[in-house]
Amino acid sequence: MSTHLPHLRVFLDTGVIIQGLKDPRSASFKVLRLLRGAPNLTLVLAEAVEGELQDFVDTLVDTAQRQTFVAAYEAFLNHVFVERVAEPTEDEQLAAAPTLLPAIRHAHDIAPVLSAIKSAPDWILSVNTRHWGAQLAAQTGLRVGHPNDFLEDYAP
Amino acid sequence: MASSTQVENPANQQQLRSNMTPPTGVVSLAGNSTSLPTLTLPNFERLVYLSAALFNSEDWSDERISAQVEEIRARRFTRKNRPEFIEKLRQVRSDAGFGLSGSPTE
Repeated sequence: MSTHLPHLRVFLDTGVIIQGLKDPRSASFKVLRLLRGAPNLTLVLAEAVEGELQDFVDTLVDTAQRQTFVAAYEAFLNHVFVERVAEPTEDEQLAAAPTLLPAIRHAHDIAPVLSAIKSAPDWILSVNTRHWGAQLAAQTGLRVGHPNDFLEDYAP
Repeated sequence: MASSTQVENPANQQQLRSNMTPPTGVVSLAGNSTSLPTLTLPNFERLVYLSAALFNSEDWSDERISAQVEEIRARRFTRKNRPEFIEKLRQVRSDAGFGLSGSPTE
């Protein structure tokens, strides 16, 4: 049994989920596979991230691509413990903006980043290490990294 | 935050939106160019390999995926938020020395 393993809550940015569902060679895929069925891991899933996944699916004009991507996502979710995070309110975003903007630069990143901060996960994973990187980690005190960083650190 | 989160059991997962209908029946693996390690893979992994085959011509690098997400995020930001809210954020950015999107010099 893996009861000796610490319980970890892992926030995934949208890019990790998209990459993980499209590329079985990627670190993102390995993270998704690790999350499935692991009793000590919880996926922290933001409403903002799910909205972006929906928008990504809406861009897929090829029916087979769309259906397979969605089926893979649902197969993933069906074996994962999920903690959902509500989208931050406008007031919350405005209040956090002065602090967050120097680290993340883009105003449109505020909702997903603030979702991550509010949920205070053990890890925030993103493939966009330019915007979701060391500066954000320093600003928030949270552990922010690439899926590879998590895989290197996690030893089941 | 406890008030904004909800833990769900995998056995009771909420499905994605209604227009994200999954395929029914057997997923065909014929005709793809990605070598499949085995047909006895768990469903999730089989679907990702199939997905890889269907998206075969695309660039999946971190940079490409990040750019794709940034595009989606920017469009969603404009579509979802009220103009007044965007204007308030613009003001906050301006006060902090940043443009609404991109580098500090925008």
